Amino acid sequence: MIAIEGLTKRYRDILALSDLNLQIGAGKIFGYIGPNGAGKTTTIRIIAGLLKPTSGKVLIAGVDVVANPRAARDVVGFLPDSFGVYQGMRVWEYLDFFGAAYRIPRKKRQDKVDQALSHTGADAMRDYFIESLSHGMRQRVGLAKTLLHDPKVLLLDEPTNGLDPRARIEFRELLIRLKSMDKTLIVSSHILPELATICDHIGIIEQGKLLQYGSVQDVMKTVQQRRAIDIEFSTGAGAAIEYLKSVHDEENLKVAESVGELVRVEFSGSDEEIVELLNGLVTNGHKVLWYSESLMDLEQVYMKVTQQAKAGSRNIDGE
Amino acid sequence: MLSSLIKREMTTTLRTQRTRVMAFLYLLALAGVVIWMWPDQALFSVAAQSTRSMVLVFVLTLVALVILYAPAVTATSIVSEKENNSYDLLFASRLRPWEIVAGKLLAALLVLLIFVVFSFPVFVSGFFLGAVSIQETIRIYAICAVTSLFSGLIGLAISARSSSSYAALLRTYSFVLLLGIGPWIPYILLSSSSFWIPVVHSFRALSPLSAVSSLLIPGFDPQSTITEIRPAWVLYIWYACAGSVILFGIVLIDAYRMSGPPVRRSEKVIDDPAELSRRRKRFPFYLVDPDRRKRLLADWMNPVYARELRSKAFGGGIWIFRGAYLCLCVSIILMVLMLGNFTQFTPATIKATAIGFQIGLVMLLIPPLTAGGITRERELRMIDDLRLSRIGAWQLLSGKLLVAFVFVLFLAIGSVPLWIVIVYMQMNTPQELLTVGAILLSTVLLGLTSGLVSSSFLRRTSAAAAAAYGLLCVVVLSTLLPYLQPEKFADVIRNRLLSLNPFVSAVQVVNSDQFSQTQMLWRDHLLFSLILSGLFFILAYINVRRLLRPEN
Repeated sequence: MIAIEGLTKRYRDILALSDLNLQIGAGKIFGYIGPNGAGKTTTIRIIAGLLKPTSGKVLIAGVDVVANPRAARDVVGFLPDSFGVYQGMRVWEYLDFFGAAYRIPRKKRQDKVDQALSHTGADAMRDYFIESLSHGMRQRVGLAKTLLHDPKVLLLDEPTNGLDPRARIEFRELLIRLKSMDKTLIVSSHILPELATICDHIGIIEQGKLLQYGSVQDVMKTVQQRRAIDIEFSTGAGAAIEYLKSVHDEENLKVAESVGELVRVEFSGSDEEIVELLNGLVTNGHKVLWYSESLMDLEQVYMKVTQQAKAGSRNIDGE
Repeated sequence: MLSSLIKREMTTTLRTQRTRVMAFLYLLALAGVVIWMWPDQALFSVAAQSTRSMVLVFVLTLVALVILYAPAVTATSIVSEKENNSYDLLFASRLRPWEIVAGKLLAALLVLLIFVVFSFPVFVSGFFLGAVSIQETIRIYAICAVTSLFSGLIGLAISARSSSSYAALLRTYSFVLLLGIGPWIPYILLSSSSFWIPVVHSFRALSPLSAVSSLLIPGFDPQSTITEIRPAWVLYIWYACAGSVILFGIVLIDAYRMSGPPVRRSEKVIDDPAELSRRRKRFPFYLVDPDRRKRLLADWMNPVYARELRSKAFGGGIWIFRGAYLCLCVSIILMVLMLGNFTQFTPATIKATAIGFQIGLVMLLIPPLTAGGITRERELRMIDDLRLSRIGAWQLLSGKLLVAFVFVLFLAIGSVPLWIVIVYMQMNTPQELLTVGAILLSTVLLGLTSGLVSSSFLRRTSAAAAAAYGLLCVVVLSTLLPYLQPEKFADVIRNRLLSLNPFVSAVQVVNSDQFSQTQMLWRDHLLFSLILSGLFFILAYINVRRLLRPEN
């Protein structure tokens, strides 16, 4: 659905985006992660046809956004991180205006407004004045506005910023509902756990460069080269550690942490090798109470990736 | 504490590009006046009429520029802090409310006074011609300083009581311009009666323009046998000082109120959107309540026009009703004066006053109608939404222009009584009245397009409103120069320039004895206004088209 090739954006001396390449399939949610000023909003604005890139290509459903930004407007819906509202208008009037602005014929417009309000769970707000709505309610109305012309691609820039936990959870459910309607979503957010649960793919960007890209699991596996395994013994954790060290060399297994009878080891091996490791412990008389593999969460992945990138840039600067 | 606030305010104001451009244009205008009016002969001649006229025009320009610039500095001073949520931060600091107000006022005044001082080197040229004494210079600069203080405080007081920069600017400009021109109207109407002279003279002295005229035009202040009449400039300084003290008090009280817990008229705070929605149906909103307009926008309708009507005119833009109400009141007063014939004023005076009132109204109320047209979309962060929609530059601009015409219609309805009397008294033929109507309409169009073009080029509504007022003032006031200084112009140029002035063109149509030495001007005026309006619209169109394209 979305193909980005060699996208670069330069503001005078600042390189905001450097040779970005992305492929996002139809009906997928893509989570775009990065610190402030990393280039997320720049990317989204280029995809929306609001900003001209310095070079590169963006294709949405076969439409070249850079060459033909007007045509792209029909397939793209954009919700900026903070959007304005017109004072003194009711919600339905606001949506009616944007419906007319998208040239939706009057006969179809009523249905479109109703559907958009229904999809976003904003039916009850129909007659409210927009300025009297809370931030969460406004976000829903904003999303309803972007859905009016039934775009195939939705670009949501920090949509959950400033929302309370309940509103965030509801908004997350809303995004899943939109995905089920076969919409392709690009969502940028700082709140990483919520992206981890809803995104099919993620991209981590820092200083205009895409550092990691792929499914959430793939990215985690790439970043987390050693698997973290927690093993709790009923007794004799010390002896078990000695056993593990004697059987495995340090490149293969490293005891990361030991608290009481709980031991965390970092192990670079396949699932079969983990089975062998546990089997060895049990057959050698070590009393294993339970074991579990702890996966890195998205925040840890993000921190690790961006730290590596910073360290890399420092090395380059040092040279 | 206070000095840090002044320093911050001064730095943020003076280091902007806008201030540099304003200073440049300001000095250019003043220097232009001096160069243009510099006498060819009679150097060192105290009696030379031209040198005296030069000082008069220079000082009038100086005061007019101060009046135009002061609101731009102060009217958004407090309200922008409110909009940025930084006003509370100031109150949360160790600054006391009076320090905040004094800091803002002093910083704004210093900026204004810097502008006044800038003019001094240009003004000094008057000494070489012997046109002005040191005593007069001190008085002139005292008037300028007091005008800066008074205008600045008007802006500050309105800023403290407004909730948006746009509203603050609109109110300040309306008030300041009304103060500059309004006090002359009673004098024009009632000065023929010796009984009224002291009253209308004292009232006219509220205008800084009358203070300058009193100082530089011999015989400007009338004589009265009933009571002693003080020169207008003395009265003006008293008024401005007293007004400044009162306004400072108002701003201070507001600041102390703001620093305390919020004062509410009712114990009950309503934050339920459903309840708020229900309450908005009350008077005056029920008259034009959006609930009645359940119908969707028609396909043929310009959505921008419809949205502007819904959100501004009938969604809360109560000021337009107040404007129309004011029109109606003034119009009825003029009507009663005419019909009652309370003073022995001539039909020519009546008609000139009516036209002056109408054109003054256009100057006061029209530019802000469109000055926020594009800048408000930017300030509300709606421009991206418009870019993404299918609304084009033509639809956007024509929608804004159309809705402004609807507002003008309200104002026109308010002026109907005045014109009924003129028609009833058969002072002019229908053709003459239609011509005047066309002149007024073309001035309205000029005012609206000057607002649009300013709005399309500038980022802030405040700057756009100031620029629109400036453009209109240039057209309406500077074209009066040939009337004040006929000897400086060749006949052709004088006629050409006078034809650009709506007031002159309209008065000439209704009073055939006025401006009889020149040819009929109204045709040229209509042509000029339409061409200039068209040019403004085209410039706005080009710029908005660029604005709606993807950014670079």
